[in-house]
Amino acid sequence: MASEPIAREGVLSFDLRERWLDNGLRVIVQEDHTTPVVSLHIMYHVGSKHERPGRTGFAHLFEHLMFQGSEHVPDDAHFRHVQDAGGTLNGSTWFDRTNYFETLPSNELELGLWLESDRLGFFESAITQEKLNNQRDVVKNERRQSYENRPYGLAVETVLRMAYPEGHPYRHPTIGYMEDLDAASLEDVKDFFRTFYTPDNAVLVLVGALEADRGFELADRYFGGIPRGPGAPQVTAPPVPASRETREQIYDNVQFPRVYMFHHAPAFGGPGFEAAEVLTQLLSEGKSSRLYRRLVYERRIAQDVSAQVWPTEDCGLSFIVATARPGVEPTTLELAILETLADVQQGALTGREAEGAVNRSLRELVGALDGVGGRSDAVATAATFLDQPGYVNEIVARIRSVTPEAMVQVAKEWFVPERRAVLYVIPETSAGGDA
Amino acid sequence: MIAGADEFDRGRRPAPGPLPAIRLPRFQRFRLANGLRVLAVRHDNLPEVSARLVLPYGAAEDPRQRAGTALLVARALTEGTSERPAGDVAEWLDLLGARFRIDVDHDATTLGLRILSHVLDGAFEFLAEVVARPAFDAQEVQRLRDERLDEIASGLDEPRIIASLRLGEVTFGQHPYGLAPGGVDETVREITADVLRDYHSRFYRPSGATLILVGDVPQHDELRQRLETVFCSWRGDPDGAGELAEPTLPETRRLWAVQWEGPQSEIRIGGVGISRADQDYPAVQVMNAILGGLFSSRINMKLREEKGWTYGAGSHFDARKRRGPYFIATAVDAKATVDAVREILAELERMQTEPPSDEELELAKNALTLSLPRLFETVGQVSGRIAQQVIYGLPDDFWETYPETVRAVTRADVLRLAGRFLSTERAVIVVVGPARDFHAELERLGPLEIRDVHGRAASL
Repeated sequence: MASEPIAREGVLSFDLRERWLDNGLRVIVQEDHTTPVVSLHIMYHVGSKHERPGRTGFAHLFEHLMFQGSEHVPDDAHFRHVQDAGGTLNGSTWFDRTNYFETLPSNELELGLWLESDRLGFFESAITQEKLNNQRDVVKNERRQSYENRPYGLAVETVLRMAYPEGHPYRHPTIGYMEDLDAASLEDVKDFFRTFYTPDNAVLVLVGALEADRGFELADRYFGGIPRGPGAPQVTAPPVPASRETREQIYDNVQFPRVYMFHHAPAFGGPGFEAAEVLTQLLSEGKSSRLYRRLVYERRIAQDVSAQVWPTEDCGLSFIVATARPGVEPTTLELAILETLADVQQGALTGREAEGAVNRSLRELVGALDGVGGRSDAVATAATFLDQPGYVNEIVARIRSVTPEAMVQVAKEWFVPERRAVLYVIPETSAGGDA
Repeated sequence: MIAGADEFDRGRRPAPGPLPAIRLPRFQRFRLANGLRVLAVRHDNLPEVSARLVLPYGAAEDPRQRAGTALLVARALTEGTSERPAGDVAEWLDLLGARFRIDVDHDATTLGLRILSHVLDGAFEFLAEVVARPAFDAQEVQRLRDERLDEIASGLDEPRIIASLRLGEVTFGQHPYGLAPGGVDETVREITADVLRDYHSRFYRPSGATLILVGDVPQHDELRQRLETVFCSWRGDPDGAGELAEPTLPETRRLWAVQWEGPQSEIRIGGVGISRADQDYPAVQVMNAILGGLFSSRINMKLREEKGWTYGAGSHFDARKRRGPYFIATAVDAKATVDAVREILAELERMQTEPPSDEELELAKNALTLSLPRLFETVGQVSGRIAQQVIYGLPDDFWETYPETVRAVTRADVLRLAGRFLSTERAVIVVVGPARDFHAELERLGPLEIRDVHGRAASL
């Protein structure tokens, strides 16, 4: 079953149009009149890596405050306006960026622009200590719910501490630490806003049923009068030199051990990134994938196994995670993972399995670009991280050109002890938290 | 920015343009010689297809004491067929680059395939083989059963899963809706290859099943011809589906606490809700949107935005063939556990006594109707919505008439439905959290039963 071109000629070539406003805001429009909806996505080039010591979690806490009203939008009106228009909305914070997005019926594009421009141009007068206190409580509950009270919920932040040296921008999780959340002040909020929330530190992407020229005109109308900032300081997370493997174990209220194997990896869009992505498909996506077949199916030592590369702007990071079946030691899991990596490094890949991994990556990619929301996110990320929005039109070709040799190369270069951190999560003595 | 520099008034919300026409799916529909119904929708901006094969039988047809059978049958489909062993099936699927997902609930089994359109023929062959001719090899079945047992055990590490499972049990008692569709440890242990084979031979039949195809699919004649060729050897009628009783609400308030040492409490408060085909379903959605279905709803605004006790709180009506559960779900700072339960109960009372404001009613209706364009955007969304129509026997024009139906809902309807469903006297309350700290206070809300994570009677 040879694979054919994934698309009729040009189908995955999105016509991206781009213009800069005088204040430095980069605006990108892609017309798609298939469905009468429009996605509006604004990405600020600020994330947890820009936080200063003692203020971890601040970029994310700030994101929450952006939903609490601005000068012309009353406190609780942001959500209400969007939902009242039939839209959906959210925001998210990553190591390198923070984004805000709405998908709206196409006749409500201006509503989105009005809301986004108001919280960029008219935020400060609306922020209060009371709002900060309330959202700090909400975020602390987010940390409790999504990390502290989840099985294995603190593993990833532990691994980050192991993998990155003191002071490294990727060393702490976006959710931050409780004591730092407590320390955040209203003055911090205003400083952070003035420093990073400026039009020249953002990209605005509009995808959907709109005319591109109209999109630019409206973007200028709503955002054009907002002054350029003093220039946001950029932070680059430096690559971590290969040194030696780090190992730790922590205890959690769980029944089954779990292994987290971290490797430093290529950065988003950088050399080897697509090969690393396809390699993770080959390792853990689908029942013929190498790790699944060995750990779950053949040896029956793991309940589950997954591999992923995180899309970070600077130095990259990847995880292989496996949960033990009853009675299986974490060491057994780790050895089986290492054997699998060694097989790959020794070039044991077949053309067929590589082809399958490429096909799975392409299918996933097309699925991610299917909706206007996913597409605008991809364009904004490519513009922010790579300064190349057109990357979204190249990914198909890049993934298709990933060869078995390229994957072997990535495995040899990155999946080595010198770039590795291994964490075991071990059950506390009593099983299941029974009373 | 200098105030007044704009050429427009920022103080006013921009007026919306004229309402766009909604793009609802246009079906090609036909029936194959073996009785399989096909619904195809061309939706081809990207070269992909979402396929769903819907069998109108699910966990409700599990044999007695063998809950989990329907789920394991679906999982076993890809673990070997009469033509090839499990490993070869996996390689075939993975080479196609397809994603195969099964969804088994009480009412139906849905086999979903997501593919790039150039492998459509291969995907049809794959689907036809696994659905019609699974091998149910004894060793593979035993492995699947063990995996399911591990999965059930792991679920008991998660307070939110424990809370949801226990809520189902208390709400539905012995009714099949009281058990998760995947069964529990004792019932899964009893499942053998023969049990799966029997379920498969009775319910995996083309007659009564529907294949939904959305995306870059061929035109009618060509599609039909290809499907006839591929699916022709799958034959037969389903046999012996039981009649599922209508569940009833517990007579009095039921209150369970599960001791779990942690920084938060998982709270579930609920009861028996509505069936999907009920005429009142759209009106219930309006009521629910006001109560807890939207970010800006009463419960979330109270617990999150006013009190800061939680990352989020919402209400849900899981409408099924029979009356499914309704529930409020939230995780709150453990220190606020009992206060949060009280506030939720107060909101349930208020919903029954205090009519919604014009603004609340309008927001709910707008959110439900103006969102339709984006709910029919991607191939996966479209096939998913069609699957709901198939499973619950909704009329073809359901979504066309839906906005009108929702618009007609009145304040009196909202009050009436709140009264019908949201009784706090007969509410089921489940809390999973550090019960030692709050049980005395919680007990004031009703006769409190302490349970362990499995739902067995326990003490603190």
